[in-house]
Amino acid sequence: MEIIASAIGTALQWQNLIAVVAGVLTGIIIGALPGLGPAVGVALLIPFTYALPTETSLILLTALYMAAEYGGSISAILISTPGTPAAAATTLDGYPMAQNGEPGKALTTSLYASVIGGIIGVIILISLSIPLARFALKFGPAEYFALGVFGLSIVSSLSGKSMLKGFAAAVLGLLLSTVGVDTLTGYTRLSFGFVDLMEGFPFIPVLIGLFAMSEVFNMIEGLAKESIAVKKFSVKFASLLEFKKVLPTVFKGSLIGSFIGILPGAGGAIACWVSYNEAKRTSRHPEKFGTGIMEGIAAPESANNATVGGAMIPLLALGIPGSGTTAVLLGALIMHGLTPGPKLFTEHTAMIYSLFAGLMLSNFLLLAFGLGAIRMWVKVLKIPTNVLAPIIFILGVIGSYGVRNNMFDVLLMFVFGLMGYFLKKYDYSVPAIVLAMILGFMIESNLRRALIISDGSFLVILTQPICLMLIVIAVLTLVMPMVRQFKSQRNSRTGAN
Amino acid sequence: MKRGSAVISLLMIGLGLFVFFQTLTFPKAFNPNDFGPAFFPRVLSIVLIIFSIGILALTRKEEKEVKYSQLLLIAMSILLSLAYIPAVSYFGFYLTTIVYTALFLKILQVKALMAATYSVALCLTVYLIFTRLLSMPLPVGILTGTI
Repeated sequence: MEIIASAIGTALQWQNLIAVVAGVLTGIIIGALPGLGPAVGVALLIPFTYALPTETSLILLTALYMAAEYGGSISAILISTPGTPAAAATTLDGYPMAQNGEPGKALTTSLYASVIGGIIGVIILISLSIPLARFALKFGPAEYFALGVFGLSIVSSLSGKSMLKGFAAAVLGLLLSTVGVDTLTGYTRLSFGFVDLMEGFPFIPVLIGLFAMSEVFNMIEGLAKESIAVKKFSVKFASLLEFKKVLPTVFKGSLIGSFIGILPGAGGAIACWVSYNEAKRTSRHPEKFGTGIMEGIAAPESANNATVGGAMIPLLALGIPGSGTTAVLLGALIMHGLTPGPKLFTEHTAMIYSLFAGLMLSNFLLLAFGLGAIRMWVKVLKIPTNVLAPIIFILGVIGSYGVRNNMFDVLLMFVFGLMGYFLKKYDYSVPAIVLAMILGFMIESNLRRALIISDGSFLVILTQPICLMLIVIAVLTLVMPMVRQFKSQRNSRTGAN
Repeated sequence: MKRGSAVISLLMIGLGLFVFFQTLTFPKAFNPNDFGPAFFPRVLSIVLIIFSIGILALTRKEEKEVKYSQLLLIAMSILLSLAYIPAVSYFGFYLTTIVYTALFLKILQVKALMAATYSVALCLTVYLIFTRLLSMPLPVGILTGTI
């Protein structure tokens, strides 16, 4: 108890308070900027922490991580460009809601869901760190393969008009994920001699290209159709009564996010889709998803903030990063002379607890700053397209260049931008490509590892209980939307007769 | 048959065939229980070809033809984007981006003075935030040593 009280005291020291404020503000901005996600944000801020005490540094970086997960939804909602990969699902309902003239409602829904998700994630981090981390440790390659397949099965509900085109997009994404060195044999596949493709397609330039650059081309084209003048919109907030209705979705999303966050390799980018899909699957009105409803925003946003707490569990307790950002945080911890792992809890107990307190505090500040500045964010919409397009372009260039300081990545960003622009025009699902690209490596490498361990027997996938459960859910997730589509087609046909 | 949709399907089939033949040159795995580096891309290339043929066959006539307005503007932007990469390598990020943004705004029918002012202001902001504040090493090309 004493240690907790002193930890809260440490977190409330003025320099740590400033760190939380700075972390939250930069986090929101960096999250909102397309291409600059929490991982890039944390990496960019690491040089600032050289001169700071360890607690202050960690509080600053984790507050940024938390706030960026919310920030990503701002651009997802206002300009249909997810600021972070974890906000990609938010565009599905957030952008239509903003287009329907309710950007304020969309942003507050996202904010409340993010804060609740963040708080629940931290509570889970505090109470379950060690036992839950132990559970995730038991996951072998077979379970990871099943998890990847489960993640991919979501594609069927992302497909939009044509399910076949959705599957084709996913296959294309999986195919793109095979580029680069094959980790099991060391053979370089399909890189055509480009050294920069040895590690596969760098994810951030591809993401910026597919989502942001393709939008720039759309903007250019949109000029002829409608004038540059901005549509009227209200900055009306989501009322607490309205938000109360989506609370079950928020709690479910928070738990999904925390759980997926714990699994190494699966971060907010996967959690948001799983949560969105789960909300849609269990909804009484799944057909309304994608038209701009609150559940469609609350589900991914609660989940991606909850992954922050979840991802910190294996990072702190075992030294295994659960997301791209925690991988960068791992570097920051080591830089400050700490070795993440079980010993951290015994040797640096006070610091760990003040980190928890700082993370909790960052959620409340996120709520305050989020609400305070929401009118400012809504104003982003007032920026005419011809002003916004060059900004997205420049940030896209910087974002793709900055990951590896490499112009090749900028070229890739352009290529994927064109690809995204044309594929979107013909109803191919861009999120399906992205999801498949993230999961492809996980699926292939873990299946092969599992088969090596089991001496080539595929039974390994069906005999492990966790694995079997995930595969069954995956098959159901894949088939259900098809059955639903078939039923509704049959109903409309019999109705016509 | 709609032309644009067909072109995309044909490109996908082409990609599938290309990858399929590439995988024939991949080596076998050392471990007999590992199905090797070729298996996954090869299966995917076949599935991609099958799906694309399916899409090609199923593209209904009643489907709306996708319209391209401003094709010229798009083409110009694409050309401009392609010229951007070698230009940055030589002139550096800032000089190229100022000129590029101004041209880009000109394409979007913004007045010349406005376009020039805005692009300079934008690049100055980027410089202050990224180069000065965040010390992000953006390529400076021929300006090396001056900023």
